Amino acid sequence: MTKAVDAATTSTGVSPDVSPVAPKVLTLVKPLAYPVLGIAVLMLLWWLGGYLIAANPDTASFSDFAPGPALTSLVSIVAGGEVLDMAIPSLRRIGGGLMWAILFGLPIGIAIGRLTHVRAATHVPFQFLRMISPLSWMPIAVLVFPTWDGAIVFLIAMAAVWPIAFSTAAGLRKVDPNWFKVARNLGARSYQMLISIILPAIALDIWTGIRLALGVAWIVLVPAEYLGVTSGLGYSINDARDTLEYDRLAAIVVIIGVIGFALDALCLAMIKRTNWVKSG
Amino acid sequence: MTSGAHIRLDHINHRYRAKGDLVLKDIDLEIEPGQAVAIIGRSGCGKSTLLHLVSGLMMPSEGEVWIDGAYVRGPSPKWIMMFQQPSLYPWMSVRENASLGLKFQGRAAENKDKIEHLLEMVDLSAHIDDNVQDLSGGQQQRVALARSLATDPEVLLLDEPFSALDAFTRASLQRDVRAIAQDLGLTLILVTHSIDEAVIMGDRALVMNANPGRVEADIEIGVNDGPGSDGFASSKKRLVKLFEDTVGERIGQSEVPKDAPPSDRASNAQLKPKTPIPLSVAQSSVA
Repeated sequence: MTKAVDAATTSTGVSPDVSPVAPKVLTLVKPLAYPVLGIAVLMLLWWLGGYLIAANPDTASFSDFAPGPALTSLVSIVAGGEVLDMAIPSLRRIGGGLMWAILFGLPIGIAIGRLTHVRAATHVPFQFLRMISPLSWMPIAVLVFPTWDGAIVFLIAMAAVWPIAFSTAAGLRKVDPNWFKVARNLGARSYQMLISIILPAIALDIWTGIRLALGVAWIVLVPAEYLGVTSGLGYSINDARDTLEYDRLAAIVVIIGVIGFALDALCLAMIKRTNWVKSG
Repeated sequence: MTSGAHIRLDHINHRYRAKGDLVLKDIDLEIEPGQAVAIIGRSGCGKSTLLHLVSGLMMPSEGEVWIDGAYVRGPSPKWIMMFQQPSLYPWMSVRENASLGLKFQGRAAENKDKIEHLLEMVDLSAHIDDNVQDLSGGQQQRVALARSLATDPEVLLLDEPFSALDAFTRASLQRDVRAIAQDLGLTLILVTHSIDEAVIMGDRALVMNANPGRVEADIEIGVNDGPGSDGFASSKKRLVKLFEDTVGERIGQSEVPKDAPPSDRASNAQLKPKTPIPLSVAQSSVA
């Protein structure tokens, strides 16, 4: 084959069309190979789990967890538009919780990162609060907030505020002190320092914090939606369990995974976009 | 075209902490408009601290700094400092970095031509829209120079701004900064560890001693045509003698690479540290 290609090249002076196309296809396919392999392994394990559950008479009633029934249910949920009814309330709550977490976490992080006294004074209380499971605030949230939605947004905000605050603070502490000196010397006012220097300098760390916060918030969301509400992915899972619709339950788990993955990819894109370090 | 400012330091004493040791003692100094003053001395003698006090980035524990009759209460774009590292903002282009001071003043839009002219003056016309991370160390320091000049300063404060650069780039920047400062009539204060740099760039040199930092000697540097000229050699000789007499140390002649420009080969006198240290370390810096 090589000889034939060589001969063709020699006689015409131009390589045959086949040779440049093959590497091109390979370049396109290669990055997809590992993710496809990973998904295939995951599906195989899921199928194996479903098979073992179905094969055991004690667990056979849960056999709808297997990929076949679950994916059939998933198609029907997506095709019927039910997925939007489930996802939109959850995304609204996540958005609300993250918004509050950013509104509080960002200034807290900037204060901790910039002011030594604030850092020293807040270290113990903030580390203490951070280590409390967000869900343990549930009874208090139910008492304090007049609506279930308010309580869930509060729980998500409590979970998400710390990664944002600490990542912002850590980012700010790495900033070259001369950047502040130069900006002051050039006549920067406080708000100009914030907008033109601090925020761009730590944008990568802020988005990394938001990404971590989103991961935690997404985990907290499902149990939080077990609280009184009658909408959202957490509620739908609980409902599917109560009605013994295990295929539907597994399908909702897949939906949660897919939305979580998409939100994470969005954060990752923002991290890449705000990363000003040029490599190479 | 701007004109340099008159600088006066009255009875400056400075401590980093309220009850800490005195790091600067009894500094009284007057610098005429347009004058270029080089401050030399061993590490830790308070040269950079003195420069920070003039810039208003630090306030003295005692005493006052006056620039053109105005008491210095803080930093201002009128007396601007350049550091050893250019401290450019890596998420900005060359143009954005250079026009930052004007942006803070809300004058960036109407001064577009001015920024282009300044970047042309520092030989960066071809890189206006490049990211600053794509530039060499010398080019980055030129951006920092353009940024400093954009706000029409009256005083340029240089804190060893060329010490991290290679010999060729350093020589060309020394020459260019001196020429630009002279053209614009800026008052220039330079902190340096290099006697050569002091002679190349200064009209006058101050020798500082440590513990606590104080100005021990003040000498006029004669007009010279740069390294290789008789004027340069004689000014340098006088400054070296003054430094040795004042600080009580001999100045070493550090080894210079063969390919270094004449300015470095002819005279690369550095302030010799008390304890002999390996040549590689001594060459890099005395800081």
